Amino acid sequence: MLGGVSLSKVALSLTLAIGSLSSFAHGLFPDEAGRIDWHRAQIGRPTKIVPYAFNETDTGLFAITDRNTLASLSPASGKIVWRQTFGSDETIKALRVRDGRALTLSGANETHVRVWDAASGGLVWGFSQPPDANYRRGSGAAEFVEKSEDVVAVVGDSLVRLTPGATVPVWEVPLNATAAYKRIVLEDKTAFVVGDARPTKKNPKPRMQVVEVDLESGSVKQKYQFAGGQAVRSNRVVFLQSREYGSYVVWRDEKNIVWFVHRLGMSDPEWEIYHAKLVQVELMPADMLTSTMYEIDTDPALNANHPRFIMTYLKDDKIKTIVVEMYRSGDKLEMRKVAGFRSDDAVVAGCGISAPKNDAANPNAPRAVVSVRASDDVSWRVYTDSKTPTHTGDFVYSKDTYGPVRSATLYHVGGEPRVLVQTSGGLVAALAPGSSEPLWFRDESLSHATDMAFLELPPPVSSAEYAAKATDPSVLGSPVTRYILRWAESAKSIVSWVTSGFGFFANSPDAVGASGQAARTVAEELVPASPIVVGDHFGFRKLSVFGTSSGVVAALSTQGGSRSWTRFLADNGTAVSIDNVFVTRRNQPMSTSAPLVTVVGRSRVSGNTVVAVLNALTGEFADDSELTVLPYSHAKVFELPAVDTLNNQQLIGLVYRDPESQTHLGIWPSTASAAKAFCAVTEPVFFDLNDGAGSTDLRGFRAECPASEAELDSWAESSSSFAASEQWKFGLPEGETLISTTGYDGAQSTALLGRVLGDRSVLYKYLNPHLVTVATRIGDDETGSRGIGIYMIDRVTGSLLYSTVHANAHVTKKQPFLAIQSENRVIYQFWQEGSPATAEAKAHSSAVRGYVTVVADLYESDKPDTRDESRAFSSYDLVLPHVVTAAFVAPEPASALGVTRTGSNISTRDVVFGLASSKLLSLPDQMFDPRRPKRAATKDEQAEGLVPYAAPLALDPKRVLSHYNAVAGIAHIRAAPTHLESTSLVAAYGLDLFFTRTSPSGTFDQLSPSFSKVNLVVTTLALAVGCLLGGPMVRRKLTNQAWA
Amino acid sequence: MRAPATWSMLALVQSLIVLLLALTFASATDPAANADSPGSPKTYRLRGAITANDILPDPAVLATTARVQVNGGEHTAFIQPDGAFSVDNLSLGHSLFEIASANYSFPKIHIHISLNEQGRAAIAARYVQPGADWSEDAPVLPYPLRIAATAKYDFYTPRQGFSIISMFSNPYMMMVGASLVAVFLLPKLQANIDPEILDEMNKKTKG
Repeated sequence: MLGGVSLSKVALSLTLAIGSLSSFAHGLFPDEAGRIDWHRAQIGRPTKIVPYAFNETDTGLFAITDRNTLASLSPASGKIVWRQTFGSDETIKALRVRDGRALTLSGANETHVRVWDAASGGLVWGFSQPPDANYRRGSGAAEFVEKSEDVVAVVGDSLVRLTPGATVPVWEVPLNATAAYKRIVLEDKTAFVVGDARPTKKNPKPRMQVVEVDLESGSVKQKYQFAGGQAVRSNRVVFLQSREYGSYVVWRDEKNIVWFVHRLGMSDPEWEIYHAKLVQVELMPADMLTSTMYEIDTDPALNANHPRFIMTYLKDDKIKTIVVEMYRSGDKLEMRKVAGFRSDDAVVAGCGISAPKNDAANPNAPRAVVSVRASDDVSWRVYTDSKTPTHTGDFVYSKDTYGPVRSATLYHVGGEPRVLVQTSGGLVAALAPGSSEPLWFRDESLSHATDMAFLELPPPVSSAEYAAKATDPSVLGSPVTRYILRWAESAKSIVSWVTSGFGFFANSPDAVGASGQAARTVAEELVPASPIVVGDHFGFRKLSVFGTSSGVVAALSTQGGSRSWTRFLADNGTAVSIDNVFVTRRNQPMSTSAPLVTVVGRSRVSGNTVVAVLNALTGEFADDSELTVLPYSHAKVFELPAVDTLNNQQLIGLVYRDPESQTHLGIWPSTASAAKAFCAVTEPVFFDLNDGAGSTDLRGFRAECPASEAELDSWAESSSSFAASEQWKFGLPEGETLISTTGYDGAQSTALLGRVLGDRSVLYKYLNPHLVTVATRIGDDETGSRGIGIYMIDRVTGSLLYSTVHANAHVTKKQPFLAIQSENRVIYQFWQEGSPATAEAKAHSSAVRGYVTVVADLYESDKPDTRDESRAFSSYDLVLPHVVTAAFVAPEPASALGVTRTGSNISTRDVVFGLASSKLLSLPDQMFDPRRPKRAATKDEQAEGLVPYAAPLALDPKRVLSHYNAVAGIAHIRAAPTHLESTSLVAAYGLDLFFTRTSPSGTFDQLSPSFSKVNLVVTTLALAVGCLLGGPMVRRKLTNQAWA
Repeated sequence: MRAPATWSMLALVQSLIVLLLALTFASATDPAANADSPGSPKTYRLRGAITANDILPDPAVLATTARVQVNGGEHTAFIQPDGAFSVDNLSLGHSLFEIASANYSFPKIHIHISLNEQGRAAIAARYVQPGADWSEDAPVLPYPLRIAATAKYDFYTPRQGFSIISMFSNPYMMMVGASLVAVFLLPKLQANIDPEILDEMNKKTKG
């Protein structure tokens, strides 16, 4: 008997060991790559696009973006030829392309000047300026020096001339923090650095400051100020550069109808030009004050003798645009109108210029201006030297999808003009003459994704069910009828499968376009004719609804990434910044009400909270609602555990402080029925609040419902929010400031309340839905003491459940702190300095540095089979958890953390890391078990499946979910369960998007792809035939035996 | 315009020094290292190159896909098509040097920038193992650094094709095999037994 027990134990341990091993060994099969996952490489919204012709036939499009990326795009397809992603704090301020080289200037105080090979994207040479105490915010500009490979740049607080290969500048001019220098204008032997002068008490008005420097020697020739009231970057200022006449600045004062022209480097002459004379039209002063100016060419290599700019103004409430060319003879300066056109009802969204080829030797090559009108549709015209456009085109486009057009660029492919329009939502579309469809487009809105929610889609309805629903919806009320209809449909499918040759010639389900839809044209892909409303049987195809800081809400299929719908949200024409997306009404079988998503963000106009409720399947505003701007700015948003029964909508809680610093909880929808639903919830709502990173305390609140029904009824009329009473205050210890708080991401499901140990005893998990992990920064760089504090607190009572300190931990924007809670496990990661960070200690200590991943498992008790016997969990019964921790060495720097999720949480979980090396790495939960023995495992530990502890977490390439895709800038990882318990969807987003599915415990509930249904049928048939043939033979044999 | 002497000062701040350190730390240093820099703390430049080997025949593939990272992202640098890189603005002390590449694995390196007795900066670079102590006893790598890829990641698990052995090692197939043995072989064995012994055995079992 005893032997039997030990045998069963051995068997159990073997099973567990095999289970854990198989889990560790799982990987991606080559045929799954690109079939179960998809990747979209993005660059961000371009802040500048420069077309550049390598030669007569090859053109390139070079872009710098607000996601700090430099990219080369194919002019023919818009695909990324190459891209270079800069650091998260390295804003790219300047881009110049010349002689097959691209020049960038990036960073703020620590400035980097880099020259790239435009064809391959390789770094040719670079220069880095260390931080400078005198640096003025906003400074930074760079230009190629003509007829030389040198570069002149404003780096930190200096103007430098750099030459390839040299580690120090040819010369350096300290700028002494007198202005934020944003522009360099180069002439043959002179460099003018122009900036916004620092306001002084004596002279608080903005004005421009110029430093004139000799290009050869670096000596300062003069320094002066001009243009009072003007800033370098303004739509009332243009810089004009002429080979013949020199460099000029043209500006108009804010409330003045006179244009001033200044020749850089000369205090005299300075000209005044009257508006009316310039446009040769009589205008009312009010109209003159509306005029704005655009530069059409800022590349000195392209500058003509007669530089041009564009001016727009209003006349009779209509927008007029003129192209102005500058002439100078002697002391006389003249502006001539070369082309002019009127936009009847629309706004010129932008303009640009390009010659068919970059021909510096031929400055008089035809130059063109593109005018884009963007009222309902986008219509564009290209003008050269006359009022008649040389090329025109229209683009059928709705501003509701990606926002209004904000800029346009002209380039040429094989001599044919192309117009690139950009919208404020992040769409970049290439247009060609005579076509209303874009040639290609890039949707860069999702490179600004801030939140994402998965929406379950209904499984495909059989055509019989669909027909029945269409003819008589009541038929489907009976489950029997539905069952019969489903059988009928299955029978039909079998027949069609047999008639189609047993599927030999059909594609596999995954191969029929990953989205399950036929290939779309460019226009259809941009604005899908029909949204994706049906999922699949396995729950692999859902909608992922993204909210972005660029105002775009977009729904994509999780399979293939096909766009379902896009909605641009704007307050007074300005894109709102969306922070949160909630699915507030799910798809319900047999329900006629559409699923809803509620997006919460902030208006960029007022800073107040905005809320929009959208139909999750179409992106339309739900029930004729519209974007609502609330009279407050929220501090926190979360889902409330209540449903408005009137319209079956999940409630959202919006926490805000009134001007008296009283905390309130607003609810959405803010209706009487929602308020009643909220107050009907038996458990009170608790939430924690802080002032964001850097705050020194954390407070807990409880939302208070009105005491009486009558007060509740009056709630809707007064449309006020619920008061929140402060329950507790958690003051951080002296010298500590908050880094972040981490709670549970949505509702958690738990399959096992405890953990079965090797001796069959159970260690019960501490499952507290109100657990909040608080991370604090200890000390600062000045004192040299560094570290982080970790506090696990209960949100209801504010009681401290566990705390620890990690000395010498260092958290910065570049070395982020990451944390995630899942079931009874808290995982966090930080950079470990290894020694106190004083300069001296840092220099002399050699303790190991690296990212450390700490895992804390919370159990109800340290003794097995001991648990809190109360029937319901209560935060007020303070039971301190038993915390088991372990630290691991992270394989590589990570930028995001996530955990896989399955339907019932029976499958094991994988911890997913978004690595800085553009990989998505998924490591099994067992690896992070803090109970892993730090010696040889005992029999019980082996039986429990514990692998001996090893500090480094290995980077097993077989566990890289993103395989050969370089998923850049992963900032968030989200997971969603599928209908298969084994499988979890994983989405990573940040700069790029990457979706895949993974099975942490193996695909135990799926047939292997190599399983042949044909073989099964053939074998069954063969057996049946065998029986039919063998039966008579056996019968005959038996008969013969009986006669014998 | 500053005087040329000041330039060398700045040169110190911006770039630096960095020297070939043989095992003895005896190193030649940039003369600029002796100069003092007013205001800003001294910073140093680390130079090196990724060399081609059988695993990575052409370092140019890293130019747009990999980065040099020091201290987990505190400093980053791009890699030139010929494999060369330089990391600027490093301060004195110990740092962890890594190459963040999507497709290739590189060794991790412990960088120690220190000032010697003459006040000159020197760099000692050593390979480190993740999770192990940073030993000063490990051999110092030549400077400028020359690093080679240690592996090209293979992300895929090949599918197992049809195999007779794996088919028969399936527990179900083993059970079927055992049943077949019981059905076909056992009667034959029984038939071969001497009838007298069989009777005896039958009696025993009955008894």
